[in-house]
Order: sequence, then C-alpha cells, then structure tokens
Amino acid sequence: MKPASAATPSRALVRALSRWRGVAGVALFVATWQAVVSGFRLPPYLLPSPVETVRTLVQDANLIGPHLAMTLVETIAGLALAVSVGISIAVLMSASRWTRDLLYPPLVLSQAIPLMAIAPLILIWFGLGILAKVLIVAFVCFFPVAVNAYEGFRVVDPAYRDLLNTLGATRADRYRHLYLPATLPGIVAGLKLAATYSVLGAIVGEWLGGSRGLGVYMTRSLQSFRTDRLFGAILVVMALSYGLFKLVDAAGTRLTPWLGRRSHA
Amino acid sequence: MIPLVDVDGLEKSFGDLRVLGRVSFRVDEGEIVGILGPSGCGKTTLLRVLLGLESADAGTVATRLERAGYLPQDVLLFPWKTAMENAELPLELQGVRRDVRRARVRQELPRFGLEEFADAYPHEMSGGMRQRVALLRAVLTGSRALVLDEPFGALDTLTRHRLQDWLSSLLEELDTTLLFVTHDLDETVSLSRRVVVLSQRPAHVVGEVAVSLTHAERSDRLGRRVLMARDLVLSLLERGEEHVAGQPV
Repeated sequence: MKPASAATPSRALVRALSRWRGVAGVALFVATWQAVVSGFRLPPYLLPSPVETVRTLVQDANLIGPHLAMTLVETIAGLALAVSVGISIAVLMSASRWTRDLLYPPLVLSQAIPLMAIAPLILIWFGLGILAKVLIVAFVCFFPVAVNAYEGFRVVDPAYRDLLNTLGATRADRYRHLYLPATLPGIVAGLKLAATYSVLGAIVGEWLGGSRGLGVYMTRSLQSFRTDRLFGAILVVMALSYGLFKLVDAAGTRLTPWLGRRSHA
Repeated sequence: MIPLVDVDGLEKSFGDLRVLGRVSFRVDEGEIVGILGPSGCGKTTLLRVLLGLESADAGTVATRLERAGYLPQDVLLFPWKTAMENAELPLELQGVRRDVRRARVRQELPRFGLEEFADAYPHEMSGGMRQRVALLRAVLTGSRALVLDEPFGALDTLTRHRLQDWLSSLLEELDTTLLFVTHDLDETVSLSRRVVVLSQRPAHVVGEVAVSLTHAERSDRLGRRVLMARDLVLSLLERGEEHVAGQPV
C-alpha cells in the first residue's frame, strides 16, 4: 500500500503548479506584447510596450485615481440596482403564469436594444451625472440576474412547497426558506456575468458624456494621442472587472456554503 | 372519541387515471396504523388528500392532521440547511425564539443519534441519518400525529431494519399517533398496531389486521408471532378483494 505521506507532497506540488499556470499565461501574453513592440520597433503612439504602459500608469496614478473611484462607485451602485430589479422581476414572474407571460417577452426584448442606442437616450433623460451611468450599468446587468433567478424559482421541486405548507408556512416563509436559497446559486452565476459587463456599461456611459470616470479619461487620452495612457486605462478596467468577478465569486462561496468550492470554480 | 382520521368512500382520479376508488377507514388518537399496499396503488395520493395537499373527488374526509409532523417519501431535507437548521424549521415557522428552539433541538439530538451531526449538511450525512433528521423535524412540529410516507423505503436492508427497530422503541417513548404508508410487509408488521391493507389501483381497503405484539416480539423478525402476523397480512394482500376486518393476531 502506498503511504499517505508519500502522496501528499506530490499533490501539493500539483496544486502549486496549477495556481501558477494562470500567472504563466499572463506572463506569456506580456512577453509576446513586448517582443512585438521591440521586434517591429513600433512607435509608442501606435502600440506602447507593456513597460511604457506600466510606467505611464504609475506616473499618472494621482490623475487616474479619481476617475477610477468614480467608475467604481457607478459600477457598484449599478450592480446593486441590477440585483434588486433583477430579483424583483424574477419574483414577479414566478408569482403566476399571468405575470410571467406579461413580463418575460419585454424582458427578453429589452436585450435586443443596442447599448449604443439606449445609452445616449439615458444621458439625455437623466443628465450627464452619476445617475445616468448607474442606470446604464443596471440596464446592462439586470438581465442575467433576472433570468437566472427566475430559472432558479421555476425548477424548485413543488414537493418542498407542499412540505412547507404542512408546516403552516406563509408565502414570505416559502421565499425565505425555499425559493431564495434554491435560486441563490443561479443568482450568483448571473451576478458573475453581470460583474464582468458592469464596468463596460459604466465606461460606455462615461465615454458618451461626463466629467469624471475611466471612460472620460480614455476619451481624453485618445483625443491627445496618448495611446500609452489609453492602454494604462484598459489595464485598470481589466483589473477592475477581474476584481469584481472574484469579489462576487467569494461572496457567492460564502453565501452558499452547502455547495462547496467546486460550484464556483 | 372523535377520530383523528375518518375517511368514507374517498375517490380520487388524475384525468382518466382512477387512483383511489372508494377508500374507507378511520384512525383514532394514539393509534399506530400502517397502510400497506402494492407499489403505485395510490398510497402517497391517499396521504396527500389526508394532509390537505390534494382534494378528494368524492366521499367524505374528516381529519385533524393540520400541522401534523409529515415525513415525505423523499425525506426532503433542505440542502442549504444543516441538520440543526432543518430540524428547527417547524419551531422557526411557529415563531419560537432562536435560542429556545436550538436548545430544544439539542435536547432531542442524542435520542435521534445525531449529536455529532448538528452542523452537517444533508449531503454530508448517510441516508439513515437524513431519515432521522427528517423524523426529528416531524416530531418537532409538536403535533400529536406523525404521518410518514414510505419512511425507510430508499434505504438498504440493514439500515432499514435498524431504523425500524429504533423507531419502534422511539414510539414507545413518544405519546403520538402514527399513520404511515408502505409497500414493505416487514416494516408494517414491525411498526404497526393495526394494518390497513389496500388493493391494486384504483385502491380500496381490502381488510384490516390488528397486530398485538410487544416491542421485543417485533424486534425478533423470525419470531413465531411476527411470522404469524406477517402471514396474515400477506394472505390479505394476496386475497385482494376479500375483506377480513379486525382479525387480531
């Protein structure tokens, strides 16, 4: 029989290697980027090197900071609104066949509206301030939350509802003890999708009009041909999206302890 | 005495499928009654009608099973709740304070062999343990009646026998009425004080058998009196239509 102690170090090694595979992938991408810029001697206004991009980012940290803060606030507020609206719509759709037939088609059709068409309208209706950007983020993000939550409600085994009825549960009890926990993994999955879209929504809103935010910073960088700043902003947006995704992932794991880590991988 | 369940001429169909055809029987308070019938004869439908989860098409159904402790066939523990949280659910729905209901559950855990598993989720427990948690949840409704649907049907033979013996001794301690349905002849004899035998679908009551055995006699599955009771119930099942009401062992 193989001793347990012999298997443990090799498993730890495999785990450590798998953790570093993701870092190696990013490093390979950055190395290729640097090689292309150096090999073809590309000017910085066309394609800045990763080194130049990071240098500019560090130099402009004080400048980009307030823009990042604004985008972050818009994104988180928009996500929060999207979760509230998405779950409310799902609850209404699950209430009866009548409400589902009434709400489902407009819900799906809302996603056929191009963002570049609706975003300017939202800015016209609600101004160039933070509210319009929050609404644009919510518009982009509420759909995956609503659909995933509704599907979660829909597939709940009615036998659980009957059991709760024998215990004298009210409608609110049924949502609290059955429907919401049952659909929580779906909501988390929808929220992970929404988290990745949310920064994009905020950037589009800022790009179209406003005085602060990463979208504004990007527009100004582009207008002044500061490609290095534009690339720096793109890196920040990527980091922000990834950070939000991981945050939702961690929150999901904490909220659904019965599923274990595997379901959130 | 007002019966806990009084059913007369109960009929139930789902579309063209006639499931229950004129079922009549009664259960008095304090009785332990097993309803035995072949698989698919409509036992679960009968329980659902008695619990008010389905309506009857014809006949009269008078029950006092509101808020009865119900153990469904598939156990139905909530996967997102620990053993403690599943067990305390009836008390939570009754508005009992958290510390009070937790103390009540903790007090009962040893009797159900679950003291080590209070914080375990259902998928971390064996089938037998899940069954015990579901039964504890049913007991904690505080109802004087327990209604069990194929209580140990999904378990392996050894676990089933162990749980039957455990439940039999638990019933000696609990002052409760028990009504359960099963297709398992041994389970019926090991738990029931009275057996109501149903026919094939559409189910009707073929007959009833009183099973007067001590706890020790019930535990001895090859004992003479257990085998006699078993043969009597089996013959009733086989004879199908013939009615042998109230014949004691």
